[in-house]
Amino acid sequence: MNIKQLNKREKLLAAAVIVVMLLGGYGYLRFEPRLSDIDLLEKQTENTLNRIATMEIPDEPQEKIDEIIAQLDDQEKALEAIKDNAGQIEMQLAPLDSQELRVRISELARDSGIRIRVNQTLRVEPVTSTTKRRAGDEAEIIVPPTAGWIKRLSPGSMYARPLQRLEIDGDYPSLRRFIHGLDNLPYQVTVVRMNIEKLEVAPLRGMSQLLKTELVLAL
Amino acid sequence: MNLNQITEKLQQLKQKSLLVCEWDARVLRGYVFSRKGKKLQVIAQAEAEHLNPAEALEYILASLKQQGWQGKQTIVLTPSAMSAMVELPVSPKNPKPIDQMHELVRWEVEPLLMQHQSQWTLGFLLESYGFISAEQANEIQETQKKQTQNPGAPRGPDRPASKRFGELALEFGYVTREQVQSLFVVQDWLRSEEDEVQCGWSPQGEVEDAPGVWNWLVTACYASTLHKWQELCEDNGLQLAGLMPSTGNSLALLEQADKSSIILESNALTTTALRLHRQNVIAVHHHVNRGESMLDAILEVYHSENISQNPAILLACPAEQLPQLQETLKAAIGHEVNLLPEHNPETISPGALAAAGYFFNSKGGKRISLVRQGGPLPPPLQRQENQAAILFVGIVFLILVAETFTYFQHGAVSAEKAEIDARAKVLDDAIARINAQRAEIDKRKAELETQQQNQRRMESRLAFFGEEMPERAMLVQAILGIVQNTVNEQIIINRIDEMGRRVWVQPDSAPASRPGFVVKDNFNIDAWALTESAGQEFVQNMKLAVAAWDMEVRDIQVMEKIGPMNMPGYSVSMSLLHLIPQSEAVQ
Repeated sequence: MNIKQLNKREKLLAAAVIVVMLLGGYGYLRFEPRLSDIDLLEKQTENTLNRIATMEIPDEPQEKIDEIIAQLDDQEKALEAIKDNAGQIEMQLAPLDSQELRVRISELARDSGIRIRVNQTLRVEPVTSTTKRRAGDEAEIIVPPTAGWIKRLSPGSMYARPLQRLEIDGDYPSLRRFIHGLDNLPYQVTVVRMNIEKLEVAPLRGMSQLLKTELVLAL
Repeated sequence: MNLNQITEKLQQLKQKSLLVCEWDARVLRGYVFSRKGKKLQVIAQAEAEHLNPAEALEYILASLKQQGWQGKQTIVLTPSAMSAMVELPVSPKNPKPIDQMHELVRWEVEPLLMQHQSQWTLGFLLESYGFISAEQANEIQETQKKQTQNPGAPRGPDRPASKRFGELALEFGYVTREQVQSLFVVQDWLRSEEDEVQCGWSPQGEVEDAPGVWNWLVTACYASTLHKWQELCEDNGLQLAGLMPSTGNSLALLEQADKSSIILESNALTTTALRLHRQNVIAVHHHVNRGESMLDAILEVYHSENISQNPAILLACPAEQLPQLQETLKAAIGHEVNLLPEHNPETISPGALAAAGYFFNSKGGKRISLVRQGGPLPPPLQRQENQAAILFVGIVFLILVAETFTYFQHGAVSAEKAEIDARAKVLDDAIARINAQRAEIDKRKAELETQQQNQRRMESRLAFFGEEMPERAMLVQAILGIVQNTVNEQIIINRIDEMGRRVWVQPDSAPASRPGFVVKDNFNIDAWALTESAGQEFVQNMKLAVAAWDMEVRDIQVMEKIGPMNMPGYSVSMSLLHLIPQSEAVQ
């Protein structure tokens, strides 16, 4: 069938079908997706506007990072200086298991006229923090002075040192010589507890009264 | 197809060419026209003198192809097509439908076409080709008349059947059989079977004395003629646009016309006179050139017109006849004769030039028409291809409008989105920068805090081992020294301990003299005094001695108590407290 054989109505119908197909195809395949794309862009724009409207802009920090870094540097220098000083102090402390110091103390007692009856390591309960410590916070506890010397020097404390308990007998001058003599030892030894008690036995005539003394030494 | 190819195609369409074949029953001339700007130019031409136009066309096509022509569109000017003036009650402003118009024109032109066809007799052709003279032709016709004037005689040996012109010419020995046969071929291309008439028309002016009736210049030929030329063209790879009469087309070359003018157009075979009134053709007269010269033919046509006024005379004829023909015609009629076209530098046949003007839609081209297969084309808006093109353009236009709309809308929305996104990005960047600054500051502050804490711990450790421990050692020695210095012969120290404060029968009556201080060291001293005053003196001396060491004496108790060897005396007890500020105690 030739197109010229079609009558006017058939031609109009064919033209209408072609128009509908072409425009429909264009609308479905091109125009509608394009409009959807535009709608999507508009929604994105609106969302962005809403986000901007409700956006909370934090205040600029008052502190200057440079100042903090400078403080850190100063702090670092100060810490280094403290470490230097601390190093000198630490040099005066004996090693934790120093038998040499114990020998020196025994020699000092002998030289001072003191008889040692008990010379033992004092076992004390480790200190624990009463406050809740954070996980991984392994820092040693700073025990306040009011807790007592032994507690401050207990294991777990930042000042933990070996403690040596001595029960000695001797007269008062000997005791003083002994305690004075502790200052002359190569390492720092400090009397952190001292209990002096007079023995019930009366001294011989011309002799000094004997004293029973309990000393706790921080080595 | 890329852009360059499309451009080339468009240029080819724009520069399309047309082959105009002009056949005057003797010579076939081919002119290839193309348009250059507003002017037409001949890019190739050839001619062939073959009697058979089919052979002539093959010849000139070969020649034209050698000259580089490769087109297809062809218009043929042939004497077998004719033009005529018909009066129809149809206004050009409100034309009838094509079919109806075709019927009206055909009704009017068919007798004229029959009359036109009847002229192409063998006798005319023999005389026209000069094979016989006019006298010989008259003799043969006289003989034919005598034969036809004796119809009563019985057919038999005494009364032979009337012989045809060619047979008599052969009998008389005027022509050879080959000459007759060759002219039969020519006659076959000039005359056709009387079948359906194919027409073309162009409107002219309204008839002066008949309102509502209009002159239509009609071109017509038989369908078989058209079909024959179409087959010939198709055999040679050409596309026939249509047929035109060999004379009478130069009307299309007329640019300006006087109030009254006459166009005299002639070629070797026919002469046509077109009378014009105010640009419009009002009469057409055809004349077949028998043996006479072109001038005689033009003069005969001129004198046959009933000319009452002095119209402008326009002469259109083959270029080789000019200007001699112009001068002789002017001398013969005693009137100014102008040429049509006025300028013909390439010496092209006026008919061919007019046909090209019609094809390329030149200014005067619409005054004439051609005969095409299937009849004239309907008005442009009614052509199916144009309607389809309009429909297509409409759809494309709608799509373009939609595309433009969506393009601009998409562009506007995209631009707005880009602007807002840029603003959002600036804000996001600012927030990110501030957060990064804060995070960095927090991190540094945490580092600083950690470092400060380390420093405090380090300082605390340093103070502890560097200050507190030596101070403690000195304090112990000092206590021992103080005790030694304050004890006299009336005092016996029973005990010195650091076992913490004792709980006594009575609460401590002496409040802390130094508020805000806490106890760091506590030495308890138990002693026995011989007298109460000695005990008080001992306490007094202890207070004075420990004051230098930031110590206080508290919990003083002096009570009567039996001493050594049952001696009456007094028990003296006290606590030596080493105080430090509470701020130092909290670390």
